[in-house]
Amino acid sequence: MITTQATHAEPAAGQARPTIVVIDASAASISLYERSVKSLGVALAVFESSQTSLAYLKHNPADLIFLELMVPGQDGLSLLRELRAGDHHARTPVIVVTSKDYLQDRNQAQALGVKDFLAKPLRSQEIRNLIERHVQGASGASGDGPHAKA
Amino acid sequence: MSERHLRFWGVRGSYPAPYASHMKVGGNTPCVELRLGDQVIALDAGTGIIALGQALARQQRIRELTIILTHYHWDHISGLPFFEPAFLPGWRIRVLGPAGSADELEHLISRQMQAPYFPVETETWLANIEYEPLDKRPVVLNGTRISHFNAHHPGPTYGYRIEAGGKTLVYAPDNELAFINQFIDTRMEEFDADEQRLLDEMKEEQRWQRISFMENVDLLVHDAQYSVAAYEKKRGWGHSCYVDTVNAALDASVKDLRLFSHDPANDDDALAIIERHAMGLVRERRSNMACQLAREGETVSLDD
Repeated sequence: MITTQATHAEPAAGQARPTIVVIDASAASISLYERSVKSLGVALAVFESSQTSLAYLKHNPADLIFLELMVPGQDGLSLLRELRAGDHHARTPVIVVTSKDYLQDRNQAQALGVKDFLAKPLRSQEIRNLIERHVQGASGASGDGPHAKA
Repeated sequence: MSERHLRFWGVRGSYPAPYASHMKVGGNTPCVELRLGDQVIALDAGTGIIALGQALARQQRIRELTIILTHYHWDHISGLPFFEPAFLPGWRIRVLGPAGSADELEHLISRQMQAPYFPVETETWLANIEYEPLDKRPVVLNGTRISHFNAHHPGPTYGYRIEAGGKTLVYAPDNELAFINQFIDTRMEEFDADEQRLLDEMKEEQRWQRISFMENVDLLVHDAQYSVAAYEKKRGWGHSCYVDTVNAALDASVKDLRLFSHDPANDDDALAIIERHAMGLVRERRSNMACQLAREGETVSLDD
């Protein structure tokens, strides 16, 4: 299933909004991502299985990918390996946000060039900080500072 | 012996335990044979597959089998270099496991036999070996549907749900059931009220994910490696405490649970204590779920 959500913030005239891809089957996690990007000028594309995400990413660019390793259909590291071997996403920034946190997975993810490997859960502000750090043109009045508690 | 059965050829996790004190339960690492008439499926290829290979090489009727691997840690593949049918012409062996391509799967298998780790390489295998990556969709082998799910274990690791002849089995030898919620609990106070509501939903989702793959299955063969005391020291190592396994199986209305991947540190006496306690947990929940240790050499009929 694919759900693509346009966010509230509008890009400058003539400027395409950066696309953030989320590959995660958790409805609660998806809600956290949606909540996080509301104040940012980005589009969010959410995929709940490896097949649907790969079908999309085979033909579309992404400015940042959030990847859950426990995605239905395929191990997340295998999915990432497939993305890296393809034409479009050899260098796309990828952040693993997962409920599966073992050192061996961290090492393999690092070898596949992920920007960060984070154990769930993340706060909305942490997700916003990651997007602003890794995506050019993603900014907004995102509220509290990088380490502030809500 | 039933024509449709499961047989345990190896039940020990991590490394072989060939000690007299362990022989009632068994010392070989994971291999479970699923026999459906003349169809033979070996789940994992730990040292248990060596004796299975010897048994197959002695008979004449069957010349084909499928080996399905959960992952490539040694205890799950170290029997393959000694698997007799692989060295015999006329055999057809399909090897399935998590991988992105057939080449990658072959590489993952053959690497353990390369010099200097082993005296002969897979070039000496005279059987027709076919490598088939399990990457996205379920496979169907002669009417047996096999679907995979991600397990909580270091590195890419699958568990399998198998539907054959009206029975449903799940094989998950390495899967840490209690790992998933600890970060949510430890960080809960950092989150605002709306986020905390989502975290409660996330916990509920994960509670469901923990048992969804085993819901209502006829037979569950699942990781139960650690005692309570051992798990206190080894949380995050990728294996389950048997108490979590029993409770998850009860939550999922499993009919028959076989505790699997026994800790090599546990001898027969220690495992007998675990089994008695596990059966007590089932009685406490007033369930009629069958629950016992998987024992090497034991056969479970799949006939009605």
